[in-house]
Amino acid sequence: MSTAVFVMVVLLVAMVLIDTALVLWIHKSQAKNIKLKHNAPLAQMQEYEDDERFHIAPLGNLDEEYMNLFSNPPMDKPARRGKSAYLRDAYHERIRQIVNALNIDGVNISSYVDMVLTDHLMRYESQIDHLLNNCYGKSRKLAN
Amino acid sequence: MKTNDVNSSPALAESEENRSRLKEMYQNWLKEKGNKEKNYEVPYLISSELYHAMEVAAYALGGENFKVEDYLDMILENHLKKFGNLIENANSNK
Repeated sequence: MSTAVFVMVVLLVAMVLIDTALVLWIHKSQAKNIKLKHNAPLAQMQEYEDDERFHIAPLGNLDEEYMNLFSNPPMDKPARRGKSAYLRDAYHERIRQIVNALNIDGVNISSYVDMVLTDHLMRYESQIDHLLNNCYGKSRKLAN
Repeated sequence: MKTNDVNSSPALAESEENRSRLKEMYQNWLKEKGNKEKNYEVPYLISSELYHAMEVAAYALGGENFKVEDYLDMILENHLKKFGNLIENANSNK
């Protein structure tokens, strides 16, 4: 009887220890990949710009304009919610080389392309709006 | 007394400059790649929000024949032309 109780206590302690180790491991791996889980529209991304987590150390002699690219937070996009687009093999390969050369933790091909696209859309936001207004203006005229 | 002319503000000038730059970018892409076969082979997963923003912007810029993939191609082409060699140069200067 006492042996059975002893074995049960040992098993219980082992389970608690395994559980604690698992929780610690999960926390550690989460801390390693600090990524923002959001799908916020571009306008809402401004609030993350001052977040220290997204500041990247200067990369030697890189151009300031290029470094601004990294001021936008990487978009973490769960695969199930994403949409598929296709790009040229040559560009994919070139970006892979760039990402390898940059060697920044958390920046992969996908997040790099996201940052380039986000930077473009933010840079030309008002121009795109202007073009859109023209489109809708024309549609309205045609409808009339 | 002459007041500040809104049309001559630096922000507006920059906006005009950006607009013509964006159109020029599009025209160049159209001239170089528009009629050629587009080998978009590598799948890339893009967030729905970004995809939608790209879709709207592509339509605004080039109409219904200018697809998200074309716009993505144009942006990456310009980015790589502009910054493609920058990283290697920076690394070699370290």
